[in-house]
Amino acid sequence: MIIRLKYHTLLLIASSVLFFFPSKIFCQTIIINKTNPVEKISKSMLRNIFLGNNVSWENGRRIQIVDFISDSPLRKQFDENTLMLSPQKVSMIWVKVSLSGKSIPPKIVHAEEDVKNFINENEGGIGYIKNVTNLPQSVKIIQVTEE
Amino acid sequence: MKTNRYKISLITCLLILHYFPDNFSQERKYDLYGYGQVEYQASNKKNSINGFNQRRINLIGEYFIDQNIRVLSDIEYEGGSELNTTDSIYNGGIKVSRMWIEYTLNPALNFRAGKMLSPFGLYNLIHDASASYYAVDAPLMYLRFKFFPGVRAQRLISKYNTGVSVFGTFNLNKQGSQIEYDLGISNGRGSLADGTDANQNKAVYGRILFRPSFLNGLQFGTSYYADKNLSGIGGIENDYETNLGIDFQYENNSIQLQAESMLSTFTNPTSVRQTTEVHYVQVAYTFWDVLTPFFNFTSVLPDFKNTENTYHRWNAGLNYAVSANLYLKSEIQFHTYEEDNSENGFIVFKSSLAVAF
Repeated sequence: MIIRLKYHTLLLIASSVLFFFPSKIFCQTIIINKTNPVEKISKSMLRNIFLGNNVSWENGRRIQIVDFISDSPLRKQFDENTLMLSPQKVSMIWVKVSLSGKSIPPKIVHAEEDVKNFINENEGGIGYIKNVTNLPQSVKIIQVTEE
Repeated sequence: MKTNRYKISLITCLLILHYFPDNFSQERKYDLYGYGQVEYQASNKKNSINGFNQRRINLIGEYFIDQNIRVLSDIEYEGGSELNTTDSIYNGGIKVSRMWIEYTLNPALNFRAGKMLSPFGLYNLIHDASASYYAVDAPLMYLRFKFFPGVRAQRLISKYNTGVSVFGTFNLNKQGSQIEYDLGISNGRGSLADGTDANQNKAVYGRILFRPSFLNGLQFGTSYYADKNLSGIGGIENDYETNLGIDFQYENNSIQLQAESMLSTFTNPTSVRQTTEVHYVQVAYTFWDVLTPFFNFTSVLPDFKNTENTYHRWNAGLNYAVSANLYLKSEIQFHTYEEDNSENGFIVFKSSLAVAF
């Protein structure tokens, strides 16, 4: 009886967590270069950056996005949860944004290490990763806020 | 005298090296990319030629002088693959589509100088980049259009402008609402072959775009363009022409809805001021991320005061995304118009391969 209750309680808690915090569970860590004074970023700003609507940081430095190849599971999660679009649609939007001359398209990489290295080398860089270990010296994590 | 020249040159070089040492020593960041389009067209229109066309290839070069200064060049090879001035039927051309220098101060304040595409409506900035929209061509309001018999087809707005512009984005709230603006002054239409101004009149233009936060993918825009057109839409020299446009777009993973309206005023061949209206709506729905049927209805009212002369175009088509950079698209267009109190029409079939690279 006690075991059954525990099982039900655990199931209830797990369901609640999944219902109320789905984005938290699948959320990636956003990283930028340490020279960038930004400490936190809203989800809407993140969306505007990764869809080419915001092209520079407040200090005028050009935003340099680094992203994964379109069939990467991490990219799929990020595009669907944060941008609310499929990776294919995001790539199509970037074709339009770059050909119009508005902004430069993201640097496309295969591995998380490549994201870390790109941001380490580019002061305007921004990207997302899952594994936060072994961050290079010039890379920092920023907090993502709901608004 | 000669020694003085050498001294001045040496001092100039030293000054340049002093003020821009990092820029000269840093690794060059030059990117070359572009787009192209090959198409097939068939029509029952009188005197039309059915066949394939190497429509265009544009090579875009981009170079960052530093983090805030960008140079972009866009060279277009249009309508053919070789230049042969002795060939009288040759219809192609090579031109500088864009060449500008951009300075980014902050998100809300940026500057550009050079030859650029006019920021008008949803399409003018991506006018020729067919890989960035579903239909084979940009909507009719952006194309050359024949307003009067005997007068050559012309655009309502200038596609390109050589001048300066200021533009930027304001983030209105934490929820992500944004306003984008782009204002400029340029030589306007009638520039000489070397790109210099043909008259003392300047064109002014502007675009404001509002992106609300309550629905991702929704945007509203308004655009304005005014100049003294050297050749004039109706053939009137140095005609003062104004254009006002409003546009709407909603786009999510599957649906794309677009609507635009444009009011254009100019002088017609009988020297009467005339207002032309162009409207279109376009609906597209994407299945499985790759297959997008689209439908467009365009209405042109060449003379606001004479509602009998109208021009309508319906087109329906299918866009297949081979990849995010390569598209195969086909469409059928039904054109109907009134001329000399009689109803006329023709049908055009177009198929195109558009690539961005």
